Amino acid sequence: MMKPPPIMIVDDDVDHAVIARTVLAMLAPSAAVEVVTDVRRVEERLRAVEQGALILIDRVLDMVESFAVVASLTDERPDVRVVILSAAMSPEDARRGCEAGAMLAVQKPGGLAAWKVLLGDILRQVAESDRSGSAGGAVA
Amino acid sequence: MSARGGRGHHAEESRPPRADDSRTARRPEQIPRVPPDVEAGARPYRWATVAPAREWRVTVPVPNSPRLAAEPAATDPQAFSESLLYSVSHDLRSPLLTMSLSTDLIEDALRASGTETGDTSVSVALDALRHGARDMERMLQGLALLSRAYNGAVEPARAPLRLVLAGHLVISDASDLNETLITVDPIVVRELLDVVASDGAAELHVRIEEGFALVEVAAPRQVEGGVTPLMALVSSLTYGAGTAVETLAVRQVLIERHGGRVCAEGGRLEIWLPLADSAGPAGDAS
Repeated sequence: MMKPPPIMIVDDDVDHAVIARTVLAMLAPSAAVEVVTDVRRVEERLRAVEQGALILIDRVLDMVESFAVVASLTDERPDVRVVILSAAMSPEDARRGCEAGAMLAVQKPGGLAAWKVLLGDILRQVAESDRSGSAGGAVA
Repeated sequence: MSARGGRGHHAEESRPPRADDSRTARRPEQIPRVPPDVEAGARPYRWATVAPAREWRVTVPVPNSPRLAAEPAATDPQAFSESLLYSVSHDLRSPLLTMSLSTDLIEDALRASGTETGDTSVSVALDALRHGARDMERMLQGLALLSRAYNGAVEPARAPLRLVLAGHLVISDASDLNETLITVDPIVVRELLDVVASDGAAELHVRIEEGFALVEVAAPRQVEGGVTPLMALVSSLTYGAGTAVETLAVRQVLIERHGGRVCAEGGRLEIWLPLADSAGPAGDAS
């Protein structure tokens, strides 16, 4: 089994970030997971993200939409994979997220089982793309 | 790298409408919104629930300053209602998610530690939390759909009435209904009729009246009693969210944003579809 990619969770809702980290610990215990909840540090942390990292980022950080941050990041770092998550994601927002370069933009599931399925699918997708040697790419 | 995005609550897709594109301007004034017998006070109880919707149509004076005109006044009831709807539907889901996921995590942790929850009060409490969260999720989802229907982009439409009527039993004295052009997205109207007719064929009474095609259909069981689907939904999310009432209400909003109207009268729904002028707005007639 391939080593999971380094993962960064960017969410200004500390509870959501901790829950996502907890679920990831169940699915990929060996993954290195960094959690960023301080919005002032987001750009600095994203610049320093490891090669081939998977980034789970909230759609709205401190009342500002993160599409521009995602677009800028995926332009500069085509090696990283970005998934935009949101408590409420309209089809229009999902489209904007993918246009910004995210591999997926999706609403946060309401139950633990659904979280496991979602994050498990994302990890599988990233592993497949690593196996085939391609980084990024839209899947949604 | 910098965050140049707009404010989360005022994204392009979801911005609340401005004073200058208020629904007042788009809605047909010639539709009799309150039947004469109701105006005379014969059935005031029924229309009491409709009052908020009527109040939203109040025209707000727009200041001369272009900068101020671009911002809805805090007292603009329409802007306020729609901003509140957006906030409620989107922002409340975040703490709800935390609660429902925490419930699942507690149960997971108990199971992992070998604690038998069985019929204990812990089990009852976890079930109650889960049921409560599921109900709230359903209601917030209903509000989110309404919010998107109110605030999403609406493309101008121009389509022949046959796209609405096809497959239904049509009773009408009017001639050439099929080629009559309406300015409402026919798919939205069909979706509404599909729910009304439970995906079968509905009996539609159609006439042309005061610049509108008026389509009358028997009201579905869920919205009987002279209340429109939208009012049925917002009057009781517990009852309407996640049901056919929600689907109907969302279509009602979309039809009204196209300049039409959905009224409830007795056991019938009246769907008023604006006719395209011969020199009307450009659109895709295909």
